[in-house]
Amino acid sequence: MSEPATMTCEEFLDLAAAVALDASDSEEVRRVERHAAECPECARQLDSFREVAAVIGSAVPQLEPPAALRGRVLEAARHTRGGLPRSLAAARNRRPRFRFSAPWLVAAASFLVSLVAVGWLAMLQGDILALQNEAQAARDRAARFERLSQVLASDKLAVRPLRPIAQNVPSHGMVYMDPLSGTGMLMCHDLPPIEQGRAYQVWFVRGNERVSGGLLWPDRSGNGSTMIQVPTDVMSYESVGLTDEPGTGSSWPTTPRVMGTPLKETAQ
Amino acid sequence: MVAVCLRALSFSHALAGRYTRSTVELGLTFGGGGSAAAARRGLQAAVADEAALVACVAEGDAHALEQLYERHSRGVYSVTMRLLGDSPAAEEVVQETFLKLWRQPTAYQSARGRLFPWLLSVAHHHAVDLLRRRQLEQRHRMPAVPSSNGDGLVDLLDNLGLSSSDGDPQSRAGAFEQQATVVQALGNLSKEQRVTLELAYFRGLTQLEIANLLGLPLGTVKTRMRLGLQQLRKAPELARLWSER
Repeated sequence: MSEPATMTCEEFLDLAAAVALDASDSEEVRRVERHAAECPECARQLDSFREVAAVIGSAVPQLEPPAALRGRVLEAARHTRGGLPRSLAAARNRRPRFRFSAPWLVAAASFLVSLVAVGWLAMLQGDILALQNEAQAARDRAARFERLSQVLASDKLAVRPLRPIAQNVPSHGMVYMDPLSGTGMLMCHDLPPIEQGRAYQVWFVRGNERVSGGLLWPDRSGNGSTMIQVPTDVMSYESVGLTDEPGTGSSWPTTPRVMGTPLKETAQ
Repeated sequence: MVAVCLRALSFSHALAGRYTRSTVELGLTFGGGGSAAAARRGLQAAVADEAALVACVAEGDAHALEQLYERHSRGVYSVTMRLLGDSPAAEEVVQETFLKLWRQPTAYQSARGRLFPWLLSVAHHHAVDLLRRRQLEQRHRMPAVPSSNGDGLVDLLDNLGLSSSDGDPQSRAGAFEQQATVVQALGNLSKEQRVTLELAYFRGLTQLEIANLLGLPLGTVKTRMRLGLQQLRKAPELARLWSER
């Protein structure tokens, strides 16, 4: 297949914008990278476009990744650099020729012992991985408790009880807000069940403004707690509330409020 | 090298106490009451610290990777969730992104920009790949009705729930300042440019697909996309974001 004609720097700019946004096909990516390799100014422009594209990504509402993900990433990293796969590969490479001789029998026996040892080591490593996962989960919990203790120790701590909007609903909860650190915690009990893939989203309400504080995934019993983001000027907001939203979060409440509480002291 | 890594990590822990997570993510301070000099010192410290951590990652230091994950995983996860809409897939992309840094630390070159945009770029690329595979498998339906001028499509600002006319970003709470500032810059683009960027970035559409969707000449889409990025690059509110080249 013949190579496409060399592009001009002007053509490069159009395609570079698409490459930075991942809006091009693989052939266009190759052409752009080939041109950038030969044109330092265009290479700088491509890097610049990529930085700008990343900024677009930073405009989305921020979500907290699941705590267990960190443990999985670090575990996968350790496994990637671990020696077990290489040991197995080496063991395979050491496989001797098939000959019934004393040296062969000794080698075969050693090989079998090695395999058993490798298997035993694999089991041990599995145990170690499980322990490391548990340790990571414990560290995550400790980190959450530390953040929570900071929230609770704040001089500016604001605490409000959450009440259900509908009558005859047993839901109740509390929200702890620390405007100094911009964090807080929300606890709820007996929330109405939500469909799979959905979550309760926390909103701070001020006039026509709705600012997301985070998401809460309750358990099957409708109980749950989550750390939330709190505006540093939280007491200028009128209320805080929860709505049922997609699990990815919404930019604006799309369902009626399920629970809530006024925020201003005078409104209590 | 271990000693160097330990020093970097100690510094990193000290830094974590002085700067909020959102500040460190893009290596700058938006608005707020701090002086420009203090913000600049913070930025330089954050960049130097991050370079040290990346060097430690290149040496196989898992603690350095953990530090970088702690700083940037939230931003990376948020973008991939936005694109993919389900947590298992987003988690897979986040994992692949950080493992790429771990396996190929030289793929990131600090001279070409800061780490967080690079991580976002890697994650976005993975996520768009996944999105396109899904589209091929399921003939993904666009939720909006196409039209020749972009009306009827979900607009980025509407989707983000913020707009440039929605009050002064400086008055927003600290944790939301970064998002609000970027949204303000996006709000200064024309709607045509904004919709084009959104369809590319958040829907994973190619220039050709966008042209077909909007019923526009391909050249128009290319121009809108390029001008949109160039205008964002020049936006004064984002000026402190960019790497010096």
